[in-house]
Amino acid sequence: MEILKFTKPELFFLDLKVKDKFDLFQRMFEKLREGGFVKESFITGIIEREKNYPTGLQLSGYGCAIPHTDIEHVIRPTIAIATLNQEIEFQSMGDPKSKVNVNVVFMLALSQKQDQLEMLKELALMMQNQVIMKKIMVTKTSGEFIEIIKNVSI
Amino acid sequence: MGKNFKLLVLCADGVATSTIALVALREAFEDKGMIADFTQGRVVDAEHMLKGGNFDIVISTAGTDLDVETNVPIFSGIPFLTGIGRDEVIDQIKEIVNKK
Repeated sequence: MEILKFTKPELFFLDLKVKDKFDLFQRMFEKLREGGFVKESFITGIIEREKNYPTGLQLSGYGCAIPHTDIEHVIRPTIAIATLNQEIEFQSMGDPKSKVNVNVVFMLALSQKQDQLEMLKELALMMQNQVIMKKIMVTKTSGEFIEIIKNVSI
Repeated sequence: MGKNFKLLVLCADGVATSTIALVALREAFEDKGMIADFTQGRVVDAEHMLKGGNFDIVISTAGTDLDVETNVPIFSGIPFLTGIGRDEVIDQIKEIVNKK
């Protein structure tokens, strides 16, 4: 899968404990900032975008979110992935007034619109695959995580 | 079949998730030999686009409560991202197309 071009072992947050989505954004942003992947403005971009256009998606038996923002906040493109110890609340992309309990988060920090489209396409297909998603949710190491995704043919 | 049908596909930025929905719909239409004219846009431009566009259906991945006065039916494009309810939406859209 193309997504592996963008993932970095240090940007996997597996079995992460956070109290809400803001806590989650902060934790992911700090690592992204530390690694020089995004600008300081990235966090505000993510929060604003999520407020105006939420990204929670209800799948069969689990929820996912794909927080992202404008490409101008990104320095080096990457995708950070978090699996959550306890699900947290996002607003729904399809109905911003309703809530989705999210288990897996794909935070896109991409610098090209075309990459954003391609990755969303791929992630949408991956999210629909219950077998893979259920494996991902219990994975404890980034090595295992990468192996699972590697074996997906989409 | 073969009537010209106009669909407006909207998402937050007018680029990403609307493209996913648009491609899926176009393929579903082509499979049935249906011809449609697709336009893509941002939800914030919905009102402006609907005014002059003469659209038959709107599909939005960023909420269906568009705060626009219109008689054009609005469908959620989320099924094209999650796969849940995808066939149902396509069937509903096809039904509207066939009635035209």
